[in-house]
Order: sequence, then C-alpha cells, then structure tokens
Amino acid sequence: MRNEIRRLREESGLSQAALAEALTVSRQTVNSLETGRYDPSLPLAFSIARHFGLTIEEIFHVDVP
Amino acid sequence: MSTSRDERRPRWSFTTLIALVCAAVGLAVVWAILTAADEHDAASGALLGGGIALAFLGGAALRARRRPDTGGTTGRTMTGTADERDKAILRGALMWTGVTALVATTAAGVAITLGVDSVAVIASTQILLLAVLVGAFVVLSRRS
Repeated sequence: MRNEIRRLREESGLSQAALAEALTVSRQTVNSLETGRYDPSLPLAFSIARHFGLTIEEIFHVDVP
Repeated sequence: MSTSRDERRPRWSFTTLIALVCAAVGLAVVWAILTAADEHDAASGALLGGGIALAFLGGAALRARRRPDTGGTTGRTMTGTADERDKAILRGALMWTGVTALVATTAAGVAITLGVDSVAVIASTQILLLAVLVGAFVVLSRRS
C-alpha cells in the first residue's frame, strides 16, 4: 500500500522522530510506514490522518495489480 | 487512542526488573537441579548460555530505557513500550515458533519411538524452537 506520509511530514517540517512522538510510535515504525514495509492498523491510520488534517483515503492508496 | 510521552516511558523499574529477576532465579534453579543430578557440564552450559542471554536482554532493556528513540524492537518489547509494529513482529515470531513446535514435537515423538536418546531429543527441540523464535524475530523486524 502506497502512502503520502513522507511528503506530508517533509511539508510539515517534521523529523521522523517528531512525527513518531506525535503519533506515540517508534521512529522505526514511521520509517517503515514511509517506505511501505509496514501497513498501519486502522487506529494508527486514523491518528495519522487526524494529525495531518486529511482523510485516510487522501493519505493511503491501495496498489492496483 | 493516543498516549502522552510520560505514559510511554519504559516501565523498567517494575515489569522488566521482575522479569529479569524471575529469569535469573529460574536459571539458578536449572543449574542447581543439573548439579544435583551430577550433570556438571550441562549445568555449566545452561548457566553460561542463560547468563549471556540474560545479559543481552538486560542490556537491550537498559538501552531502551536510556535512549527510547534509538532502542530496538527487542528493547521496547522488553520494557513494555512496544508499539503496534513491535507487537506485530513479536506476534509473527511467536506464530512461526508455534508452527515449528507442531512439526518438531511430532518429529521428536517419532525419534524417541525409534530409540533415540530422549534427553538429547528434548534438548534439540528446545534449541530449535529458541533458534526459530530469535531468527523469525530478526527477519521480521528487518522486513517490516
């Protein structure tokens, strides 16, 4: 699943550590989310969307084969 | 849904300490039992191996306590500050260990039936399961 987290984070001027602290997850988790190696749970996806003031659909995109 | 930074502070002073002390006591009991059974080599091996593992886990927990941002998945899991990705990794590693246990115990039963030394079979099974747990944990934490 692709996502816009890295772009949104950089536009917000946040470091991975700062975003991780805001989302109460580890920096490694933010890195894994940005690189698409880890798909978040629904509660975390909602937290991310709420943090950036967007909807989940605007941040996460399902890869169409 | 979210917690404050203070709530995420590792609970080193209670949970981790109790877990490490229990593990140390368990190790001492194993050493005492093996020594009483006159298995001095096995007792020394268990003490050395268990001591190294305990030292590693204690170090990881201490690192997670002092520098939570740079601590690894193992340290956060040990100190009770695992996030959802850490828990998913642990869950995956335990799943692989469980699946391996089904196969390993079946194979162990067959081996004992065929006359292989039961102590050696049980020890091999335990080592295999531990290796699978550690290996799966490392692989999953690198891939996710």
